[in-house]
Amino acid sequence: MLKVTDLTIKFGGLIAVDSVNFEINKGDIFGLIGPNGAGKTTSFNMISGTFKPTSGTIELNGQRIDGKPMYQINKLGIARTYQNINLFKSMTVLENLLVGQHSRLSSGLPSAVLRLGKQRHEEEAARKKALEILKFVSLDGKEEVQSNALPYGEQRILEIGRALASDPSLLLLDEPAAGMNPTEKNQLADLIIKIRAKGITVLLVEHDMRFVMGITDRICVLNYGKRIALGTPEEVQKNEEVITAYLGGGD
Amino acid sequence: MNNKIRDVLKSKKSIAIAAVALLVIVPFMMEHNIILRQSKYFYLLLSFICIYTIVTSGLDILFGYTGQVSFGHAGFFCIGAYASVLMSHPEWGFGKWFGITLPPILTIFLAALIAALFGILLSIPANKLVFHFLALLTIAFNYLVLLAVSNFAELTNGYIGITRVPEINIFGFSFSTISSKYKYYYLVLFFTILFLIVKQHIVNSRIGRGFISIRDNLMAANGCGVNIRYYKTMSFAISAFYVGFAGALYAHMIGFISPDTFVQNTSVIFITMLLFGGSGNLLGPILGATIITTIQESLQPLADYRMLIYGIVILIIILFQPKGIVGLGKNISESMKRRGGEGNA
Repeated sequence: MLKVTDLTIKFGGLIAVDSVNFEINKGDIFGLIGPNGAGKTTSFNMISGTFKPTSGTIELNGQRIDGKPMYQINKLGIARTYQNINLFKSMTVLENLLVGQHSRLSSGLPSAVLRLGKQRHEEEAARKKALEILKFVSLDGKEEVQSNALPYGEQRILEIGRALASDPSLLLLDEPAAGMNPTEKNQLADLIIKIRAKGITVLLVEHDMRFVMGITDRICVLNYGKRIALGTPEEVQKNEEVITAYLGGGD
Repeated sequence: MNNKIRDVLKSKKSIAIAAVALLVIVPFMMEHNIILRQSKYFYLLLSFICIYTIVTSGLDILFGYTGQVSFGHAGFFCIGAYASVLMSHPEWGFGKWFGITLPPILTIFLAALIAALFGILLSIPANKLVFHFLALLTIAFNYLVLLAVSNFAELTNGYIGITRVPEINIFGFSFSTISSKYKYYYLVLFFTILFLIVKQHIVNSRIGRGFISIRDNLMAANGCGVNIRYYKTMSFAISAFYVGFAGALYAHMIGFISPDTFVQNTSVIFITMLLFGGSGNLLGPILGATIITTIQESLQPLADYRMLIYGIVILIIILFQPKGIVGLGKNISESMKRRGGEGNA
């Protein structure tokens, strides 16, 4: 469903991502891993529209999305979370999930000013959907809590919930397990599997190897901006280059 | 039963209705010498408070909800005032060139639309700027508007200003302001309530959530599908519409406009009102406009030191009470609740 071809980005003289190719199949949990500075998050940011690639293409179901602004990419069905939590701090949990649905709602200024019946129904449906999502991510009962008053782990989960609110076909998770304790990590893994069961494809950037190996179907390994391996977790784990990259050169 | 009464008293809607009723009845009783004996000056003060409430609420949509600062809103106030006057005045603008004039009740809306158009224009460069750069741009905008109205004397009578601004008429009913602002006050009050309701509708909608998401987290807003540029432009336009409309109401009330009224100091006063009352809510702009207008009018003898006083007020608020009077009220009620809770335990 997502096809990345010869993806390259240069920052000045530095080639952060160099001709990377991979393809994600529908319904997969796909891992993007590599040592620090390998270009994982940069690739991720190009897919979500934060950066524009210098060259190469990104296709979502055959449609080119590279270089499109983030808000359009969200509308096309890609939602993301962030490495550092980026919630709307002054809003409640529920309101965060309502903003998450922005692309799927249509009420404009006139219907808001006049508070037309159509707009009220849409708002009512949006609230209902937000509550369903809260239940799905097991944060039900917290809808009126201000989002930055949630514990860290729950803030991360809420970000995933907010991303789900836009009905994505592809969910991008940028280090979702960062800073979580083992219990929270297990719950997160369960949640990601539950998300996949809904038919949503997941792309995961993650440092925690056990976490990645445990839940992904396929993995792409980057090092210094280049792809050094692609395959199932078992295949990747046996790959010489990957072992060298992670454990240091055997000189 | 007791609880029911308490619920009614506590509900925000009933407080709002009571306040509006008071604002309608008290002046009526004064006009008819039932209480307080009439005071013409009082209606003027109330009308000013209403007009500045519209201004501050409009500024709040931009600053409080969308997080974009403006030190140039007197520019929109000016555009609203001049646009309405030039379209309705028999001796200037339309009247002078084409020999036709439009009724003021129509031109106040057109003037607000024109101000909104300027808001859209200003947003084109403003969308790319943040914080101090945005502040500088909006200050420049204010001066630009002033220079324009001062220098196109052919059109605007320059620094001298325009007198004998026509009064607002609705189906033959005249809102005359010459002997008393009594009638005009009710007109202004009506529009103020309307604009406040519309503001609540906007900020509690998908559009309003778009604004707040921009204020809270630009990156996340973008990722959630909010078209940042489009929403910032919309916020500028709505804000300018509010302030332009208030400017037009001002012009037809005072009956005289000149560039002096719309200097950049006026923009600073608008910001002071908003910060003082508290931004990002319904009540803050109302309180800010009310208190600062009252202080301003009662400090007439100290007019020379006015800006100094505002400077000090802004400084104190930013340092000690960034959420204004509303924030202060919240803090007090919360700490009282906490104390009450401890007492029970």
